[in-house]
Amino acid sequence: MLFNSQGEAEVTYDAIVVGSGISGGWAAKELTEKGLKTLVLDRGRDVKHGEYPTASLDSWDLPLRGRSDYAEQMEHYPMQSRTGYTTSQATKHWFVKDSEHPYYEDKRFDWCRGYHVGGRSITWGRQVYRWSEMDFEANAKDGVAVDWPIRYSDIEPWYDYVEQFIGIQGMNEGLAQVPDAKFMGNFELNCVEQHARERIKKALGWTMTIGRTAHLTQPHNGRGKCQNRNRCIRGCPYGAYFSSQASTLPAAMATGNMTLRPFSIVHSLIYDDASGKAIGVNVIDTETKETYEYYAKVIFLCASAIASTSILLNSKSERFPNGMGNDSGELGHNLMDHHFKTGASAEVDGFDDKYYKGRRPTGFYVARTTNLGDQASKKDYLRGWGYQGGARRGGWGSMVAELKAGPQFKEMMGQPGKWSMGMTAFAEMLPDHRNKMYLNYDKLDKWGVPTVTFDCEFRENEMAMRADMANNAAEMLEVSGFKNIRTYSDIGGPGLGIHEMGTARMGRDPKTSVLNGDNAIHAVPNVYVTDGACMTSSACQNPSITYMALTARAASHATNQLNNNI
Amino acid sequence: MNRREALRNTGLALGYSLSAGTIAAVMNGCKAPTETGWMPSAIDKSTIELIAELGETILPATDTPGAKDVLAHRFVDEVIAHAFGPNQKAHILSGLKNLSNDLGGSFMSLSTDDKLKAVLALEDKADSANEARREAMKAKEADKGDQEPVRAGPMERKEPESFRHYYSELKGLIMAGYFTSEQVGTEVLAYDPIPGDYNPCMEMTEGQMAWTH
Repeated sequence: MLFNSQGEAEVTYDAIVVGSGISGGWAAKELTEKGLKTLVLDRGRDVKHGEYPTASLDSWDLPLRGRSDYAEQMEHYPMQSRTGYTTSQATKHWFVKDSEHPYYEDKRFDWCRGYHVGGRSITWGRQVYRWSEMDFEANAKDGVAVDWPIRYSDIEPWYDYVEQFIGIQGMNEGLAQVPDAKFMGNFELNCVEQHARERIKKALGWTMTIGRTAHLTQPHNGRGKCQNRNRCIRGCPYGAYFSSQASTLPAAMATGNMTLRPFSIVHSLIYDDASGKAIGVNVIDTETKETYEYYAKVIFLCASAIASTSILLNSKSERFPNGMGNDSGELGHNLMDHHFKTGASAEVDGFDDKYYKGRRPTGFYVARTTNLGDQASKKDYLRGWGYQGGARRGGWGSMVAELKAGPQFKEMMGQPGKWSMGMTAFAEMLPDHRNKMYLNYDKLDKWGVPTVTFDCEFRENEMAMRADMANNAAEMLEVSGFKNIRTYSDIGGPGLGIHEMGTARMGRDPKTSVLNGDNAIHAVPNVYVTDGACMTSSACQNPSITYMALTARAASHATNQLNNNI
Repeated sequence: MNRREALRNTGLALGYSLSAGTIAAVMNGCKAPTETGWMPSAIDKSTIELIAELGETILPATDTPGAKDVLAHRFVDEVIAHAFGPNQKAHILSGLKNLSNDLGGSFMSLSTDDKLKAVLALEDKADSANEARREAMKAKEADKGDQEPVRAGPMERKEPESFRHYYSELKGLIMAGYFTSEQVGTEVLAYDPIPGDYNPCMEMTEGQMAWTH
């Protein structure tokens, strides 16, 4: 029906959602549940819940026991493979081939993408930390970039709402910097982590807690509980962590209001001068290269920060010669990620009679310790970071000084090894107009769509905090009584955090921002952008749960507008 | 029995934990293929035989399988052929030319005890080389001072230029080939593919093996 009709009636919907990842799945669920006939477009192949080809494979089942094939990496994944983990034999089918989807760099930017229904909701890190009032106030207080048009109270009920639907686990700690949430239960810290938590709290006053994640510790909404296999990134057959496949898309499908069209690149939006609104989208079928137009009253861009921004930049008209909604000139600018790859590790004595059972799919989290508003935590740089890490016993990879080979060596290598603990800091990156992505009209992809070039780097404030990021980690390990503490730091380029955001920021003033406080384009009120592009600052928390909350909030706004015939 | 299908089905039966025993019963259907007809792709035939013997000396068959039983040497060859980049491949292949000499020249004909002695001597040699390399790298780091490299330019994926002693690389591959094999993963280590619940702190008991990854 979708493919062979030219009749306008069959290409017209109430709403169009571009992208089906974390944000797009939520937009689809909310809009369809409110009764809107919704077309969901994804540029990649369809993936149904359960279609996770490597989910139950052991190391010996995988080619090269999971190691990447060098020639294949060089030919198809030269940039995607920079993470070191995304393009393994177990996961490479969730990441694009650079050879098919090239992008360019004025400065290094690791742009890790998954083009398939569900997008990166399958492979995300599943960490869910609320942003706090201090995050929403930060730009205004520090005089950085522009003020967020919303505050914590605007988003708080939406955090409640999305958390209760997806099911999350963690411990409430009553912290201002990462507010309490609607947890259904929690995984426990292991013996060594629990010991460190107590020591660190006592000596430094800092809070180490279980890493808060979108995992089910009990069955919920027809999904199974976590089996502690820690193979999440391959897709979960139990649906035990939040993905679009397991959670939002089935809910949207159940309404009967969703039409899902995979293999559909949205090339641009169609602007109507008379109404001052977008009336539809231009689509290229990736298989046939034929073009289609689909129409709707409201459009949600949820294609990921860079892709949604690219669509807007490529939507040129007399009214918007520099891209739809780009009156401010900020579209494509203020690109952010998190900076990390620094921290510390140590060896742990005294727990050799203790072990754990199961592969818990999260570690610990240490909440931000700097610039919390009091004098004691104030630093000569802005903002801060949180830590993610874990304690574990080594296996056959561990070194044993006295034994090198032979029967006893073999026996010992099979036993649980020494305990160690490590942690990595994830820190805020300030918005900066100079950090940007832009379109290349002289380098088109194989569908004739302009490619993206990145021009973005970490700057003074990021650099200024990195020594403390490593040293505070070492200090925590020290007060815990651990030994052979080592710090490390290797910043790399932005993008590797896979938290790209900011390129169509929200703000109060159309002259300096792209989106308003409801995630709609200031000058095109029926186009909403609710993925990472909308973010006005990056905070230091993993951003996905905030995208979910903003998407649900924006969908509510959009349907209210439609119902009131605005 | 097609164990992938079986596991897939258990996976889709939402939310129940299965005991390790149930899963192990499914797993034991598959055995490693035999040696006949296999040819190495990266390493010559006499060297691969030497590596197999070396593997068996490091990880000998006892009441549990040895490196030869699980064909660890095939994994070594496969990884060098397909997973290593050109620098790493050149490093280990050039090192392997010395393996026979480094093991004393007539390794294959030595007694088990003498094989172990020859391996331990090579271990010492590799340890010294690795220690010297670490010191050299530390000195290089110190020269750079506290400045963290800022990677402002577009960066291609770069292969490392310096590696540990070839023997240490080789031993690492033998160890990986052994411990990630199906037989060791399911029969020697503590195989628990679907743990169900997480126990954050349990008392170690006699004979507790490390969990299979």
